[in-house]
Amino acid sequence: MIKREWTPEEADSWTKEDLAGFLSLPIFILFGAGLALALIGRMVGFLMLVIGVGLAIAMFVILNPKISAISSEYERRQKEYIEEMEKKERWKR
Amino acid sequence: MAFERELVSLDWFWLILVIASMVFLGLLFYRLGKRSEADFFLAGRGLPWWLPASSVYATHTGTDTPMWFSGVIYRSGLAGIWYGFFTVWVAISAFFSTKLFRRSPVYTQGEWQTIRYSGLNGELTRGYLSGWRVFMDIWTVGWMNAAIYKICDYLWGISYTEAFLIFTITVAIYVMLSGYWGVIIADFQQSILVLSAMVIVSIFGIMETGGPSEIVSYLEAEGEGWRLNPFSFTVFGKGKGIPLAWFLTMIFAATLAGLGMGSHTDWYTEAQRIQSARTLKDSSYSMWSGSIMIILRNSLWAVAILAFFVLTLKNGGLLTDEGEYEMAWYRLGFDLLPVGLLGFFIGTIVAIHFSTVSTHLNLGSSYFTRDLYQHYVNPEAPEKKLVWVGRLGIVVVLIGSFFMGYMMKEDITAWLIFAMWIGMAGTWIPCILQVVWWRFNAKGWLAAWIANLGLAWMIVWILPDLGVMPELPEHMQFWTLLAISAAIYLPVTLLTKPEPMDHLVKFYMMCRPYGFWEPVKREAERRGLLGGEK
Repeated sequence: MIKREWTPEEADSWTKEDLAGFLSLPIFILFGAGLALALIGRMVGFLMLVIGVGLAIAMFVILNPKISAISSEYERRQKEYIEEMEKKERWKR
Repeated sequence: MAFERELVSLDWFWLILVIASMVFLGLLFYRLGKRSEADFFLAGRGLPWWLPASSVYATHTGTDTPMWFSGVIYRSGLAGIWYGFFTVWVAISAFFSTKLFRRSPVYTQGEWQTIRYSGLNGELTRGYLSGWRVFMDIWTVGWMNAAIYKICDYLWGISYTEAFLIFTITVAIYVMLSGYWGVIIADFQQSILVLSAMVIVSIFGIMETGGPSEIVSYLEAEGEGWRLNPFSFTVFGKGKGIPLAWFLTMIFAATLAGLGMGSHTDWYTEAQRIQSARTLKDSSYSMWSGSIMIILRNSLWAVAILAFFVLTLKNGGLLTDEGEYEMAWYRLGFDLLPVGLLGFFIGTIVAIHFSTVSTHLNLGSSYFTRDLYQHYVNPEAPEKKLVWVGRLGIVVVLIGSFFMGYMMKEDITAWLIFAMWIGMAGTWIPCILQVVWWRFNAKGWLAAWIANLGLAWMIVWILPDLGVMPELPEHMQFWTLLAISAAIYLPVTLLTKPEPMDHLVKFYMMCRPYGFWEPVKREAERRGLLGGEK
């Protein structure tokens, strides 16, 4: 169901796994409202926090393998990109 | 309304210790800050995720933040937490635009514009954005000056100029010496201080009312139970809480902004943090974890302000003066904390001021140095000179902010909502289009930004003042500006040529944008640049 192994080339493309990033929206609603309600002693607040934590874990389980693959591949190329950028920045008129 | 307590020596000890330790840690990194331009503005691009994360959290906590947040919670109950929900764009961005931006090793958003757009028009987008950004950093430090003055006036009755000289100049000194190293280390320290102060003040506030159960039972008995419901909305003026339309606008805007670059004024500070992280993964995780801290902070604040609401109700009725109830969270600390903790609390407020001001002094200076001086005036400047120009940039922002703060010191909330939201509504969609749509070009971007500059002031301030149109609610101002601006930049984009394909392919290969890039992707494949990918 969830792809765990990514080659750098595969990870460079946007895929359905990236959509998991949108889970941040319900997670933040659950955390924001949940903590406020929990602090005034409402049970529903604690429940919302638990669901929020569960969703956050699921999101990272889906996203982490891919983002790790992109990151390691990109760091390999970063030096070359920075050199090119500095060359462009220091153009002569 | 005046501060009626006296600070004793224990309070002064804590106050001075907190300030001295922030300045000391800032100065400690003097040697690292002056090594190079990359150190002065990005801490050498080598930070682990938790340092930029604490900075995201600390920078989003300004001295004005508890004021406007107290204002909305006092008026709207727990539903007011959604006014602070715009931060969610940072979390969405962590897995979308952050990744894309980090793949181009630029210093600033201004620089990124020339990677996305080519030729003279690309240069114009960079020049325009950089000039505007220096102005916005002057503006931001200006409203921080206004906020610290408001607090100092309440505490000691000192003038705006005195507050500026004591607190803003102090922070400018360590930022000038240590650059972004000083900013990030002081932010880390500040994030711990603020979190501690928030928990302590909130506990004291809530316990003063008799505890959480007393807040609930008292509000319900007074017919104010709706304030305990974060989902209490008004629909077409009926009900209590905040307008449902505002909540939905917030959800829409926060989600969409996470896909774009520069839709929100905070993007520009986050962009610096993204580039200062040591890897792309560190950038993403720092953005997400920094923003979750902000959301949790807001909820903690909200309950403490509800406690303040109950206390005012018990002690003679509701406050109606906005300037008075905006001080709710500060009042809890000033009025309830015991000797010693009061000094620590005031020291924390100063730390909050230091953190936000230091960020914007350094950020404004980065645009001044990298995008204006180095790019247009002296491209061959050596590293040492660039660090000195960076320091000069800080002085420019500092002086401008002094005058800007004078203008804003009476109505902080209105200025804040305008700057953070409405003032950028017309550029909201173009900032997203430039990321997700290959056909969007520099002329469309320039048309949107120039049109918005005039339209935002007209719709929000000038036309309602002249009686030409009614004063619209904030969410309607947002949608109106969005629509009028689109009627200008869309035709401009479609009637002018797209960016050259060579430039777009280069951009695509470096940043790998999402959305509608099929023609560019096909061209990259045709050139054999994407051959190995399936």
